[in-house]
Amino acid sequence: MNKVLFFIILVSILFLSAYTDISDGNKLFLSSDYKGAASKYSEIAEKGVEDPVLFYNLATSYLYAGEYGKAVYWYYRTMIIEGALDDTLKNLKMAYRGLEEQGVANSGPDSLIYDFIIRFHHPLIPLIFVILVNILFFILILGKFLPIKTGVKSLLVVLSVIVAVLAVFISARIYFFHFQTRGIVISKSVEVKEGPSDAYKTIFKVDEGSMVNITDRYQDFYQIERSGVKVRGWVSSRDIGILKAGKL
Amino acid sequence: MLRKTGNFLFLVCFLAGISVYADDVTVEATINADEIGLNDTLVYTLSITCGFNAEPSQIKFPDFLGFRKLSQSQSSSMNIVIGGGQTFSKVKNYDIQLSPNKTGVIEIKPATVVIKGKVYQTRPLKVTVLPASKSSSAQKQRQMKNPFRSPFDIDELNLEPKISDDDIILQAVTDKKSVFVGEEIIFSVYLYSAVQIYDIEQFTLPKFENAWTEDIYSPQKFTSEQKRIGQRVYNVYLLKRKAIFLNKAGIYEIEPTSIVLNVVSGFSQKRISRQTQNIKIDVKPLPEKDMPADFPPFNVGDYRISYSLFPERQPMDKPFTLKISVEGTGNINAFSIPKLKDNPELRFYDPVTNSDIQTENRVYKGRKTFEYLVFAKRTGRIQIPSFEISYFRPDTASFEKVLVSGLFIDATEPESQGSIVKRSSETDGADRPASIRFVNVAGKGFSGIGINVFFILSLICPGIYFLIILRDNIKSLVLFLGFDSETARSRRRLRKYLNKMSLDMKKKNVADFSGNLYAAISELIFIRFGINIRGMTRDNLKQALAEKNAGDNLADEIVGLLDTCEMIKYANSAVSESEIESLFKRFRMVMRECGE
Repeated sequence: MNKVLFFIILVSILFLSAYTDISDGNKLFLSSDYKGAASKYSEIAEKGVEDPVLFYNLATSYLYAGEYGKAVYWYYRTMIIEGALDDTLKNLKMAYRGLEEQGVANSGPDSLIYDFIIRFHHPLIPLIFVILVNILFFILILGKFLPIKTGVKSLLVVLSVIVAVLAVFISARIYFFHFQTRGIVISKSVEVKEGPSDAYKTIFKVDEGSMVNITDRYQDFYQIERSGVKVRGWVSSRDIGILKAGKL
Repeated sequence: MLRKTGNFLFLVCFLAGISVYADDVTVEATINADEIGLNDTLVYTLSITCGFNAEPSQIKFPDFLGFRKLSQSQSSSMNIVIGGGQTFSKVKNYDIQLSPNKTGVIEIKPATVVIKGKVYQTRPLKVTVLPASKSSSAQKQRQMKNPFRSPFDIDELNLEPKISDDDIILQAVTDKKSVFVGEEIIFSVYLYSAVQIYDIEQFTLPKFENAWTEDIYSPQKFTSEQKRIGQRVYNVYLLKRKAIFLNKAGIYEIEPTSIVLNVVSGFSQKRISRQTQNIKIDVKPLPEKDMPADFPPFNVGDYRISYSLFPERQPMDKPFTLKISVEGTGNINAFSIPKLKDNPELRFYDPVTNSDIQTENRVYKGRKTFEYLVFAKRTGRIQIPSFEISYFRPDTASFEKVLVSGLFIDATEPESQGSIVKRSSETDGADRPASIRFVNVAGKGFSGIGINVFFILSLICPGIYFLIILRDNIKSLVLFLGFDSETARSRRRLRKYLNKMSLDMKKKNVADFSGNLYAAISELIFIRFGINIRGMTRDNLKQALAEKNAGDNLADEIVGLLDTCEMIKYANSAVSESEIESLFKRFRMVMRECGE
């Protein structure tokens, strides 16, 4: 009994600890202090809270404050968690338009598959996959001991197909968001160096809001590669926001 | 037999007695006194006496006009009298405590009781209610009138002191009897006690209908002050203090306050009830002369009003705050100021109000602030429109006005706003970015599962299924992977040789048959006895088999078969098909004897 009580208390504490108040940031945003709001939201995000509302509000604060590169980055972070909702997509486009107005040529995400997965992802998809795959195998386990009727067999086929499609989608997501590191340039016109130091020669520049592949890291420098360019160089980690999902 | 008959007769007589007296019903109403004071409590008792098996189906009490019902209680008892005839009856008593509302002679109408379809009525009762001051003398008179003194009446023997009306006094007072509509009246309830109070059982305040009330003093624990009134010293308790604001002109009557309390009387407690009289307040309307248009009816009191605007200069995307502060005595919570409306240059948000009520010195006063958030719609110097705040001062019977004017804001270009937002706000177009999501709590809702959790969850059932499949095919798998013992491999080879021997028999390939038979015998000996016959002589083999307790017959048969195989191989002797089959059968026999 005591163990059960302890478990309930532990779960409650863990559950409550996931709650973080973002009302201070909201108040600052409503009083038009967008930079102050972004700062408040950032403080919470730095604690490791992964919440789409927090990320979205942080992105919107940056958008309203005119910091479009950071807005793009946080909208991507929002979409990685919850997929592309209407308000997120609308504001992402606005952020890109803002960058264009500032003379920053940017074409948005440079990977079709990445873009597809991010736009059609929903946090419930992995959960549904888990449930379906368990149902599928549970039926198969039962089938080892009980005779399976023809109707159930066709259900098994349908389930297998759905599970397979979801598995492909989730595998692609795992590959792109967990095994491949991408980033968004969050500073204006970042110089890409030959080596991991500012002393190295500049080989090319990347624009604010651009998406890059991260191929290596050395101290405070990332080695990046722009798809299509196939030239690698080093940039300071301050200028890049990493797009990596902690959750499916 | 006689004893049984006697018992039966006794029962018949007993039941007959009951049946005789069951219909004997008495309904009587009594009061504890014919004369009472206005502050006294009258106890009305309705007593119903009826047979054991009778029950009143309906009891209708009188309306008790001129009285207020304080409480009602019920008790029942049984009377059994045996001797000269059985009396077996049930008595039900209903006690109702009444408090008189007026003085004079009051008639209490009859009560009606229906028992077994028959209606019984009590006689009407009359009681004389004297003014409160005379009640104590009436009480004394009642005591004098009582010529009987029971030797068991402890009260009459004066073992307990009597609680007189003067010992406990409940008083409700107001600081004013004549007020304007909305003016503050302080209503207080005091309890004067010359005896020790045990507890307060019930304390009922008036309802104050059509009035705005605010609590000033509601003690959790009563404290008292000592006060001398005439020759007596009282402990005076302030039970309640309220600020009352009447919102309708005319005569307002505050209903009585009542209390039921237990006091210490000698060695026991005594339940005492007291009630105050009605208080009449003359409520005058506010003078119509000089009354501002749309005057808020509750802005009545003695107030000081101040206002401020801050900051004077800042970017237009940040709010300016117009703060109006009202301080003084009156119904501060209900004080209102005019609502500021948006204009082409300014946008006003509904004010945030804060009230700080102070009830120090048991007076209702405080401060109320109104904070308007003001946004400039353009840059530059903009004047806040003037407006008036008015209130009525009851002490001077005049309307006071405070003009809020001469306030300017200086709005500069917004600092922290992106061009997209700026442009969209200027054009007021639909292309404005979506705002933040108004959720106060982050971490709410389902935002995905961790990758490790995902893998664990997605492998639960597939893992179980895999284990079941593995269990079913473990032997095949072990054989397939070769993770088996030398004996198992030998047994597998034996099976292979047997298959080959069957094929050789069909093909009549005698040489191959004998070779396979030899190999099969070697494997069988290894499987069964763990003996490797390679390089062994026949004698050594026989000795080794004997050591393994193989039995002489089996050893001879094995050696015989081996010899036959060698003979076929080396001597190339012709062997017929039937002989091959015979050899095969002999080998199967050996196998069977070896348990394979």
